[in-house]
Amino acid sequence: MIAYAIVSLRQFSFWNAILKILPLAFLLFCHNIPWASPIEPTKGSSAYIIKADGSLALINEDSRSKDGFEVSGDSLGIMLTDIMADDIKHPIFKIGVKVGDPLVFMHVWYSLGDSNKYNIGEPIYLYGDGKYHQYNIDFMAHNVHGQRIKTLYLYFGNSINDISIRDISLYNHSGSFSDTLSIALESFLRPKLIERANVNSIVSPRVFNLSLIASLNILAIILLIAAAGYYFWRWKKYKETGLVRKIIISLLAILMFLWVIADVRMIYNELYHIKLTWQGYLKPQNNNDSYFYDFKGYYEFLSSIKGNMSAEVKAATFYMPPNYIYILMAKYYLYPITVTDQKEEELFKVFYKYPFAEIREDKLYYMSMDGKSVSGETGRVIKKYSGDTFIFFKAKNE
Amino acid sequence: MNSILFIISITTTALIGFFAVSVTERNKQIFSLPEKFALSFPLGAGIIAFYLFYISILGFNITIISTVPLFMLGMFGILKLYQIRQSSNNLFFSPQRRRGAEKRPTDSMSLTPRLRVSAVNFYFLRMNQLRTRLDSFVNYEECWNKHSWIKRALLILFTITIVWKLSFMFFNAIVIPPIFDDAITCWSYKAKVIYFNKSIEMNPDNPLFLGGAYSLYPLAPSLFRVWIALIMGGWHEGYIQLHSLIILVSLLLLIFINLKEYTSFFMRVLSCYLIISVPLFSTHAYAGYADIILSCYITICFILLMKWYFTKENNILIIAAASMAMAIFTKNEGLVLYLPAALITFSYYCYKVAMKLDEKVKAVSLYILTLCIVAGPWIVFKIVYNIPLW
Repeated sequence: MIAYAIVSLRQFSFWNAILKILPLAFLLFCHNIPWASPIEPTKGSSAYIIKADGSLALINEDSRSKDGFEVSGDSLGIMLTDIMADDIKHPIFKIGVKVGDPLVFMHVWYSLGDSNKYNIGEPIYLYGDGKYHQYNIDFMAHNVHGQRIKTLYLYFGNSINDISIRDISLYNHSGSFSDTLSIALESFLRPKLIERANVNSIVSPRVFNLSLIASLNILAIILLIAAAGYYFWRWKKYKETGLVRKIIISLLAILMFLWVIADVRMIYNELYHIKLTWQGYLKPQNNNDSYFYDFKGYYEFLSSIKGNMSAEVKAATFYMPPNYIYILMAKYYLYPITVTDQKEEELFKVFYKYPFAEIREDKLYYMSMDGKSVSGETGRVIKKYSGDTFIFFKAKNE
Repeated sequence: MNSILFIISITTTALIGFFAVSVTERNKQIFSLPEKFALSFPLGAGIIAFYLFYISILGFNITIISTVPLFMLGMFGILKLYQIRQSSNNLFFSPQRRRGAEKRPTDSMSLTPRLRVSAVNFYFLRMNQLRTRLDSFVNYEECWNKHSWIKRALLILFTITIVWKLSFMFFNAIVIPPIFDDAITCWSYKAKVIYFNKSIEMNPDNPLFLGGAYSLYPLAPSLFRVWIALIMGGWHEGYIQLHSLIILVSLLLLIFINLKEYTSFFMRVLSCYLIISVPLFSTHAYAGYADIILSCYITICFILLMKWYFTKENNILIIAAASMAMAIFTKNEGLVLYLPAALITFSYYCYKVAMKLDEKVKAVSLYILTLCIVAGPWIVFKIVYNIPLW
């Protein structure tokens, strides 16, 4: 069927042209071709490292462009303000990142001058081979005309250690076909995993500024209309020329071909997924600190809690970072133990990466997320994992 | 030990489904044996879910003791299987096999060579039996010999991809802990609550009402997970998550088997490939969601409606209606989206089918009655407890 379609396709000069352009696939190996023209950034633009407590540390100009700087330890990512001087139609953001850990990913957020922050929709998994790699982030779909991108936020997930950044720059797309193809290929080849909260949606690579899945859907609709026209309406009068039939078969062949290509890409994602699972979950690297997605060590922590709970404990309350998934996971994994979120009356208290709690002279001092502080609760520490992660059992007579 | 207990849980499920299909078709050979096998697991899982729900309504606890009737149904399934094995005109257990099995080594041989020859004979006999059985399922000539090298290459490619996808799903289901939102807040969470409480909470004021989360969501996927946990004697994430994957395999088998009457082997493999390569399927098969289970039930329903249209065997409608009821008990979309679609399709078939009016009325009554008997209590329950239907 595909062979037949190819023969019929040869009759169209347009497809001959496409076949000639196909060798451009070699661009696949040309990540560093300077295919876009640099833009002079705004003079007042600044870059900051975002610390875990929300504070910002300024990065000087030289570090940004040449020497590079490190994002590690208690840092969450970087923020770039006032990046765009003019209203640019097709901005491309380039960044060089060096990571030694294959599980690190980067979340890109941006703001358009108002107070809202928007996510570009997918985490970018970084090459963890300890060398600098350039990542191009195409903002064409996100740039709103007349309301230019003002601030960029890059957050790193999984392991924030030894992440080096340099060569941050903004480019404008030249508009040529080879540039477009290059961007499409890069988007196509970037691994995309299904997000935990977005299991019902597909993160599709964007090819020619249109998602691959959308292209397939459009093609399928055209095919359906053509097939319906051929079989139900009076298009059969063209049967003598065979034109409609050839178009239908050609479309079907192209659709199948694209589907297989999309699936090959999906298989590539699946392999990547298995690699991440193997490296992060099945073969933990540092002291059994395993993780999957961005829940580093949390599964082990929950298992450990189970192991440290006596039979009479029926309920526990959790103090943890303000991410709803932590409490949901605790509720599910610890059931039949009833898990609550920051309930002061509970005796069994779990603090997980919670900086507003500490043990002093065997007494517990902490502040809940709503600002209420509790001081000097007596009891015993069941297990202490680190300064901000421990299990405390409050004395009953308190 | 866990693996053995898990195999017991899914085998019993399949046997219950097998028994239900065999009883429904009575003495008529409506389904081939592979088709019955493919239908067995999803139908068995649905029957178990309904059973656990109904005994809870009646006030019984969900314990291993209360599942004894299910094991009895499973035993009946074994008996049915044995009956079919005895019958000679079956597709799978063909007469050749029985003739072959009567062969005995002659007494003129000494004991040791006789045993050796016997073993060799037995081996070839088994191979022949296997080949004969497979021939009834897939024909080598049709599958391989008559194809060009391009089609052969594509067949290999598609088969490898299908195997890879299933392996990927299996790996994720067995290895990765449930992480996706609806699994840990609804489907598996409800199952865990019901399993540890040994009952379904029927008091709407209790936070654990109908499993403690999203009371408007149906219970079938969760209740089947309760069944696996009951048989395994504990909550084992990896095994419990395999639920959707097994249903997906059943769905693929069903499609592969049912397309035999309409298209070539190549197109059947291609169809299975197209289904399994839908990206969300490969995630849903290990994410602990209910969508694949729903897909399987509605596919069974529509395939069987079509089968009824061509065969005019009313018994098929009982299974079609039961599977639609199971779809309703799996996800609300079953009731709101797919039931109307099934009814419209059935009405169209009724209009077109070459049957007398009284026979048509009988068919419609059978379909609606089965639907009401199986799914009715769940819908009535929702209405009584003022739970939104959607």
